[in-house]
Amino acid sequence: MTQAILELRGVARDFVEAGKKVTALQKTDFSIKRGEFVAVVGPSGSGKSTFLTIAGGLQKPSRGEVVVHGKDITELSVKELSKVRLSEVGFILQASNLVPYLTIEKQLLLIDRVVRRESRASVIEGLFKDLGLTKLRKKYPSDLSGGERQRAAIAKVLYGASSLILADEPTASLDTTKAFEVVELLARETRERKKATIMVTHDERLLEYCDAVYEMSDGVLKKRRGHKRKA
Amino acid sequence: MFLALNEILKEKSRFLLITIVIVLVSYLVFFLTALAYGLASSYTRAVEAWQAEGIVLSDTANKNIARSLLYQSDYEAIVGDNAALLGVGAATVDADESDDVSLFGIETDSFLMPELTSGRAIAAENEVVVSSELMAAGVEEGGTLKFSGTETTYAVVGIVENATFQTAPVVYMQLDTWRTAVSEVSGMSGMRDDTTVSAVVIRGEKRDAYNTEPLAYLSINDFIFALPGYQAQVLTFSVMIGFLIGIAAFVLAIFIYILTMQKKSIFGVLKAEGVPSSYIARSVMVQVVLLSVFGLLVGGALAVLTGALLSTKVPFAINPLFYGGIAGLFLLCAAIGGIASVRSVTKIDPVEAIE
Repeated sequence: MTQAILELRGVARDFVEAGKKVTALQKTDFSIKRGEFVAVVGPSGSGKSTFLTIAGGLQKPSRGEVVVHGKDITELSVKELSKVRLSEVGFILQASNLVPYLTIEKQLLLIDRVVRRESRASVIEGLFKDLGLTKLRKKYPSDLSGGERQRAAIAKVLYGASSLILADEPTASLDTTKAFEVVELLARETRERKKATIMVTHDERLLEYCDAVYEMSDGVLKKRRGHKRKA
Repeated sequence: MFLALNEILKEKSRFLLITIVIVLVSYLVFFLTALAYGLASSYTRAVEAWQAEGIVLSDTANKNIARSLLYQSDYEAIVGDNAALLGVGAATVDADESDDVSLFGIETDSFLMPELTSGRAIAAENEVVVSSELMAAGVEEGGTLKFSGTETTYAVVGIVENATFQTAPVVYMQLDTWRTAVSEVSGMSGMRDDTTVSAVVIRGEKRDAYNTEPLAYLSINDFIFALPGYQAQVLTFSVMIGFLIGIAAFVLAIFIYILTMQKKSIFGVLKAEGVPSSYIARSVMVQVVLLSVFGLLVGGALAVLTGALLSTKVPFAINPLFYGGIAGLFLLCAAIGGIASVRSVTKIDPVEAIE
């Protein structure tokens, strides 16, 4: 299995701002395979978000192709893109993207409702056990700490069975210990479950868990040389 | 369904408040509508019981039955099975409490004889059948009643359910009894002519003879609208209730709209995750309909309950058509509020929700 889960081929994104053309993302080639955990770092406004939203099928590139699982999604309609996101892409956001009025367990059940499939109680149980959420399954997001919320968000993404995980500053609201815990968990699950994870972050200390680090600066994405994952 | 119900379960107190608002608004509207309708129909309930098409008054009466007098020479050509003589008057009943009443003098074998809920029909002079409202003033079947300022006692032999004319309960009697009673109440002894009636009530088609001098024919509808105060009152209340309903429906729509818009950011995140807009829209609409239907049912039930408790004190009458219309309008407005918010929810740019 060497096929990339996500491939960006010559992708670029322009915006028109105050009548002037601004290129938020320069021509970029990028690919990520199963089991890979990569980070994208860079100052705010450098194009990280643009990169992530294009990778996640939230917006279309101005040029180039986005290929998910060998399927070109560049020209898909809004509705079809939404389907791709639902089945292939999982998001973990800075402020957790949990629905405030669903218990942790029901966050996962919601996915089954939306895609109209039977719930798999044993899978949920296993996930909760792995992520240390078993005792929290009946709690609401507001009852949880920031770290617990992000763990729940990870559980949701893993249950959704999406192969590509996009994490946008997942540790921004966490203290150092919690941040390390969450990223370590994300790295572990990525490898064990053969997912592909792209994490956008500010925090250099977290990079030791990543297989590769990309630096974004003024819309240009560059792979950092000499990066080594902590064993 | 899943999102809608779980949200209600989680935010119980918030949704309780929202439901209370819908309940109170619909309670208010339902109750006031029934009051206005009750008042309007208390003008005419005894008239509606005739199931007649028209009424003949004297042409000098200017459509006012209180000023209309007809004699045998006027009406002998038109009386028959479909044309019944009627005498109308007003008096005050002296019972435990005094109460203004309308007097109806009728031929007891004509179609003006009301259907009794208890007792027997009028068989002799000075026997009366009274509307059930009078029982609150202490008048009883088998008892007697007197009119203020007169000495004659009348035997109450039967009761009619809710017979009112110009808001006053009706006392039915024979035409002869009516003539004596009306003249006694106005301090006179007997009428100049003992064939006097106020009007002839007509069933069936209008005939030319009904409208030849000195007779003037009115359709029952025109007659009702010419009753003193009726038109002004119905118009005033219609406008008031109309505005109330319109504004309440509008407020409800805005309320639902704002309620849903507050959740825009959550819906934005769901959209980013690939949850289809149609799923979100359905869940919004399910919630809107659920809350509105529940609120309307409780509000309606409260109105009916209050009406039942107050029915002896106030004119309260439910018109199922009005209630159905109001409920339909409220549901529609709630749905419009819901749809408007769904539209803006489906337009959310998921990119913004993520950032």
